[in-house]
Amino acid sequence: MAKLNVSTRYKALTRDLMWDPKDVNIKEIYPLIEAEGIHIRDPKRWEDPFRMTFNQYVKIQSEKEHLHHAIRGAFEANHGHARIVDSRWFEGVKAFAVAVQPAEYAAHRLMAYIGRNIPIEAIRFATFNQAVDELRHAQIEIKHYAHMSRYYDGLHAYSKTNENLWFNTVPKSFFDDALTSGPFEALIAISFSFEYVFTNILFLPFASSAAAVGDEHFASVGKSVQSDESRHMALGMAALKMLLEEDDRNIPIVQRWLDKWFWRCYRVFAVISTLVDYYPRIRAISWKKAFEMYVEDQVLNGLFKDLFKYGIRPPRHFEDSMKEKEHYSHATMRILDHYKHANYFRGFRLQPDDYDWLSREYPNTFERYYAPFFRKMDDHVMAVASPGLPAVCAVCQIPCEYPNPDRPQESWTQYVEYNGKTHMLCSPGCRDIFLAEPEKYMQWWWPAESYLSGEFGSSLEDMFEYFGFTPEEANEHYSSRDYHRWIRYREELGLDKRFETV
Amino acid sequence: MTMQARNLQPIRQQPWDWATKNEYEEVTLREQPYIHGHYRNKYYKPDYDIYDPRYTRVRVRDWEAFRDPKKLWYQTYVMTRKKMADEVEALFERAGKLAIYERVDPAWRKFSLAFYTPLRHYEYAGAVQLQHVVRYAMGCPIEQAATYTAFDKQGRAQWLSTWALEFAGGEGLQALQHARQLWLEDESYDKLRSYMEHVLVTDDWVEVLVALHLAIEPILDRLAYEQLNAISIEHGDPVLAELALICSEQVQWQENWTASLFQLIATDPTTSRWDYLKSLGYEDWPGDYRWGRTLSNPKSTPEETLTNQEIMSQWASKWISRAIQAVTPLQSLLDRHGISCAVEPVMERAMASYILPTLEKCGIDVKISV
Ligand SMILES: [Fe+2]
Ligand SMILES: [Fe+2]
Repeated sequence: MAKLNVSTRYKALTRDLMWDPKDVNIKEIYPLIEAEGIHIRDPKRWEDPFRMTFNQYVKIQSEKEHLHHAIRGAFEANHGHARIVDSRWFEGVKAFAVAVQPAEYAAHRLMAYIGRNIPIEAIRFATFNQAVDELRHAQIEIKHYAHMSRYYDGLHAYSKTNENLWFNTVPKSFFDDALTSGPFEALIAISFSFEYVFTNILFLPFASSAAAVGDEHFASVGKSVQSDESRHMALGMAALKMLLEEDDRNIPIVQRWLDKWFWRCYRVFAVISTLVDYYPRIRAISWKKAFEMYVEDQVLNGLFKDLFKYGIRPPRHFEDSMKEKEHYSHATMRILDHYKHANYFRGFRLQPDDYDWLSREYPNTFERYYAPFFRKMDDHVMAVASPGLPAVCAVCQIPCEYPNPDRPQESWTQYVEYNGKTHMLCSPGCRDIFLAEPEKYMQWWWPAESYLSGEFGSSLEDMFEYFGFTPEEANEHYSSRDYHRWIRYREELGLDKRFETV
Repeated sequence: MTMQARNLQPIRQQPWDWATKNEYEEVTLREQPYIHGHYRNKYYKPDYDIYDPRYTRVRVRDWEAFRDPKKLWYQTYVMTRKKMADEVEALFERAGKLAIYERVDPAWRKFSLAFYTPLRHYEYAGAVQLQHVVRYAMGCPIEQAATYTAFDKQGRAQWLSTWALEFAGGEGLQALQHARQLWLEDESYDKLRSYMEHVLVTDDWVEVLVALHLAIEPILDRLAYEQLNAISIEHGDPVLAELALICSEQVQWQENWTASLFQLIATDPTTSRWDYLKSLGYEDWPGDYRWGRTLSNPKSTPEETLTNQEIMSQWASKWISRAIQAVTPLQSLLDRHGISCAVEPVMERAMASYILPTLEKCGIDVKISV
C-alpha cells in the first residue's frame, strides 16, 4: 500500500468533514459569519500550522501531564512551599492564581465559540485543540493553588474573588470583551494579540523567576503551559495572515482590531510587570528587558516589519508602551500598595537588596520617581494605603494612577464625555479603545458602584464576604500571618538551621 | 525505610470554601463565573449575559450539582484517551502486518467502506455543535463533559478516516471522496445528513444534547459500534469490530453522563431560572445595579410556563421520531450490499434497552411518530 505523506494524510483526516447543508440555510449554521464585515473567499487553502491529530494530541499531552504532575507530586510531598527563598513570592503567585487561572478558563470557552462559528476547518481544528488546552492550563494551575490554599491565605474562595473583586475586573473584563465580540475579532484578539504578541512575556520571565526562587512546581506550570502556547501562537499567525490575504477589505478591520487588542493586552499584563520586577527576591530578568526582548524586538521590530507588505502598520500607541517600560512595574506596584488593604494578595515592604536591584535596573526612573514612595512604608507598612475604592479606567479597569511617561510628575488620566457622563481612562491607549466602541464600554461593571448601590450589603464584613477573603488576608506580607506561618513551617522542617563549615 | 518530610499542619483541610470530595471536583467546581459579566454579546443574542440561564429553556436549582460519573478532568481524560489511541494504532499496525484487509469478504469490504466512512461526517457535525454547548452551557461540570465528548467525536471521525485510508489501500483518498458523495447524495443518508443539519441549527444547548445523546446516537452508535461487530467478524474483518469496541467505550461514557444530566434536569421542580444563584451563595443578591441603567434587566424575561419534563418531552418526541426516520433508510444500504442485518430490531432494542428506561427515570413521556 502506498503510504500517504504526512501532510496529505493529515489533510485527509481533518478536511472536507463539513459540507454545504441541503436542508437548512448555511447562514443559520453560521449566523455570525457576515456580522463583522470580514470577507472570506477560499479558506480551503489555509493550513493548520501544527498538524496535530487526535492521536498525537492525546499522546503528547498525556506525556506532558505525566511529567508535570510528577513534579507537582514531589513538590507537595516534600513541602516545597517551605523551601523557597522568600515567602513573599507566594503573594505574586496568588495574583497569578486568581487573575490568570480564570482567564485560562475563559479562553477555553472562547476557543469553542470561535471554532464553532468560523467555518474554516484548518482554523477550527486548531481552535478545538486549543479549547481543550486552555482547560488544561486552568486545571494544572488550580492544582497548584489547591495545595497552596491548604497552607496559605487568599485563595480559598478564588471563584468569588474572581466574580466580585475590583482587581479581577481587569483580566475578567479583558476576556469578557473578547467573549462578547464576533468570532473573527475574538480570534485576532486572543490567538494573535494575546498569544502571539504577549504570552511569551506572560509565562517565560515568571517561570524563570519561579525557578530562581525555588518554586519548582510553579516553574513547571509555566513551562508546561508555555509548551502548548507555541501551537497557539502558530494559530494566531496563520489566522492573521489568512484574514489579510483573503480580501483587501479585511485589512482596515484587522488593523482596527490589532490597535485595540495590542493596548488591551499590554494593559492586562500590568500586574505581570510587578511579578517580574518586585515579587521574586531573586529576579530572572527585568520587565524592561523582557519587554525589549519579547515585544519590541520580536514583535514590533520583527513581525510588524513583515506585515507592512499587507498594508498593516504597527499598532496604535505602541510607542507609549515602549516609553512606559521604565515606569510600568513601579507605577503598577504603587497602585497595588495603595489598595493592598482590599486585595487578596499582599504588597510588601521593600528590602535593601530590592532597592539595590531596582535602582540598578532602572537607573533613570526608580530612585527619582518611585523609591521615595516605597520608603514611606519603612516605618509603617500601611502608610501609603488609599482610603476607599479606586477610580478605575473604564476600559482596562486598572486604577487611573499611571504617570505620563513623557512628564512623569503628571497624571496620564484622560477624560471623555459620552452620553452625558464623564468617563475616566488610564491612558490615551484606553481612551481610544473607549471612543471606538463607547456603547460597549459603557456596560462595564464597576465594583465601587455596586458597593455604593448596596449590592455588597451594608457593612465592610459583607463586602469582604463578597470578595471571598477577610481583611487579615490582605495588607503587607512581612507583617502578615502568612509570613509567620512560613517561618514556622521552615522551623518544623529544620530549614531554619544554619550550618557552619570549618 | 522511606524518607518522608515531616507533616506540617495545614490551615484548612479542604482547598476551597465549597466542599470537594476528590481531585475532579477540586479542579471543576466553581470554575465558571456566574455574575458580573462585563459586556453583552455584540451580535448573538445581544441582550444576554456571557453566562446566562436563558440560553436554555430548562431551569435548574444548582448547575454546579452535575457530576460526570467518570470524573474526567484534563489529566484523566488525556490519559485514558492515550490508551485508546495506542490501541487503535496497534490495531491498524497488526492488521497491516497480518494482511487482514486482503482477506476480508468483498461484499463486506464494499459495504463497510460505504457505511463507516460517511459516518466521519456524522461524528464531526456532532463535535461542531457540541462546541456551541461548550460555549453556552451553564457551569464547568457540564461543559467540561461536553468538551471531552466533542473531542472524542473528532477523534472517532479521524479513526474512521484512518481506517478507510488503510483499508482502501492505494485508493484511500478516493474512498474518502466517495464516502463524502454518498453522505451528500445517497438516499440512504439523506435523512441522517438532514438530521445533523438540523442539529447544527439547534440553539438551545440542552436540546442539542437531547438530539445527539438521547435520540440519534443511542440508535446509530449501537448499530455502528455494537450490532455490526459480530457480522464484521463473520465476514473476516476483526479490525473494524475491534475499532468499534474502542469507540463504544467512548460512546457509553457519553450516554452515561448525558443520562445523568437529563435526569438531574427532568427531576428538578425549580420554577425560576434564577434559583441557581441561591446555590452559589448569592441568595440575597438584589441583581446587578447596571440592570435597567445601561443594560436590559434579564429578570424581566418571562419565565417558561412548561415544566422541565414537558419541555424535554417535546424535544425527545421530536428528535427520537426524526432519529428513527434518519436511521431506517440505512437498511437499503445493507440490503444493496447483501449484508444481512435488520435495522429495525436494532432500533427497537436501543429504545427498549436505553432510550425508554432513560426517559422513564426522567419521568418523561414521549410520542413517537414515524
Ligand atoms: Fe492558556
Ligand atoms: Fe486603561
